[in-house]
Amino acid sequence: MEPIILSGISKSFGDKIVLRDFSATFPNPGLTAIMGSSGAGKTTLIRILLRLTTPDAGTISGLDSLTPSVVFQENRLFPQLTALQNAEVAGTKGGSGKYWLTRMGLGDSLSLKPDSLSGGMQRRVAIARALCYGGNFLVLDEPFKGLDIETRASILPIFREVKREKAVLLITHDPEEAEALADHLVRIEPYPSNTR
Amino acid sequence: MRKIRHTFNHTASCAPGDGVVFSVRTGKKPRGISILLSVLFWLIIWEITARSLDSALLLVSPVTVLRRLWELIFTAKFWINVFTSLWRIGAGYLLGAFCGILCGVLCAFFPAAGALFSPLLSVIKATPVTSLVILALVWIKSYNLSIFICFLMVFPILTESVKEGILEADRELLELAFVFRFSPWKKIKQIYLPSIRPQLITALSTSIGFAWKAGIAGEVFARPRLGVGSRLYDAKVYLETPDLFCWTLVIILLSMAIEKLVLFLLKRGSRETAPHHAGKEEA
Repeated sequence: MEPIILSGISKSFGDKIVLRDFSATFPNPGLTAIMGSSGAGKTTLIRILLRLTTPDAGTISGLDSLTPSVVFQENRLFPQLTALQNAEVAGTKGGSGKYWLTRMGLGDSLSLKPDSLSGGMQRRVAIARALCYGGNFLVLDEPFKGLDIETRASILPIFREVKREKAVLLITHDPEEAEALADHLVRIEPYPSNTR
Repeated sequence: MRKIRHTFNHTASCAPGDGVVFSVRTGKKPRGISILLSVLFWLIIWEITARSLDSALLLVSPVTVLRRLWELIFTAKFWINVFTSLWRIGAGYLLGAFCGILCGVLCAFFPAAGALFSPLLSVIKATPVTSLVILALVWIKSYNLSIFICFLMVFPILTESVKEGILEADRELLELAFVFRFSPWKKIKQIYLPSIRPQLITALSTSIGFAWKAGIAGEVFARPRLGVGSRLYDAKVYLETPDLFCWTLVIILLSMAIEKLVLFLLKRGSRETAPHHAGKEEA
């Protein structure tokens, strides 16, 4: 499978330059961790890769044949749906909601709605939704946010399995997470010193 | 340590010595016996005033009105007039609601449609009902006038509510739907409908009251052969004060009944179509 190659990506919002001539290669399959300080353009980068934002300049190759799946920084759950319905709302090509939620330790919370779940449980439902959907390109924007150490440890093996089959991008501030999961590391710094 | 006790009289308080004094009294909604007593009070006032005036032309007593109503409800004429008004106002309301929802969707998704309809909606909202009725009488037969007037009352309210509901749909969920390639139906069902639902219920229940009052006003002006508004006008022209009060009472009672019925149907309909009732396949 061909890697995802970004060449000379630039993006500004008004006068604020967020990305300037950014280039990187993300192996496929494999997990690339993107690290950088706040405001460095990490989220803008993944929004470009998910086609939620159009870059001002630059090219991306290897993305057209991929079906993306995502865990956003926010959980973005449907308040009217149960945990199981939320997990399966996007599709179940990657496995049933019950399977993934059980693996996330939420087997006994399938019928609960988001307002009855703790922040950590909601996060796991959001992760389960991305895994249920399947796809061959998984974007994880701080997926462990709000999870305790034990829960993190139980989810790490799942991501290790997934990265063997598809391209995975992990945005994290935690070097330990990056070290535990990443095959490649990309550091991104705020403009004017965007590095590769 | 803060300790809050909840008691049945809606008062929360702290035990002495807790260091915090916290007391909240919430206003109770008058219910049952209180409502009955206040209605009785105003009926007595009405009865006393009527007896003092001693003129059936100026003010009839509540007893006379109820006696006249009792006579009327056993006549076919009464029910034909009531159902004719209900049909006209119902038709105008449903037509206005349907077109308003459609227009709201168009305005939300196509800014050009929003710009096109905006002045029209502003003019309809700003024009007094009486002006609308008199203008409409030039073009529309008296029988259909109330349908048109009700349509004009409901249409802008529904258009704006639906438009607002769609525009206020959760942007983050819409992005999620884009990435996960939701079908249009799934987007409507899981994102737009939950966003529109509360505003739609409010708009539909509010506009029925407007529609009813404007529809009756339309009948009073247009004076079709049948209709509650026409009977109200006749009562006024022929100085039949008991009938005037009686038909007014009928209008009030029907207005209350229709509003309650519409609200009940909307709540029931909303509960049954709420997305959380959707099964796995539907989600």
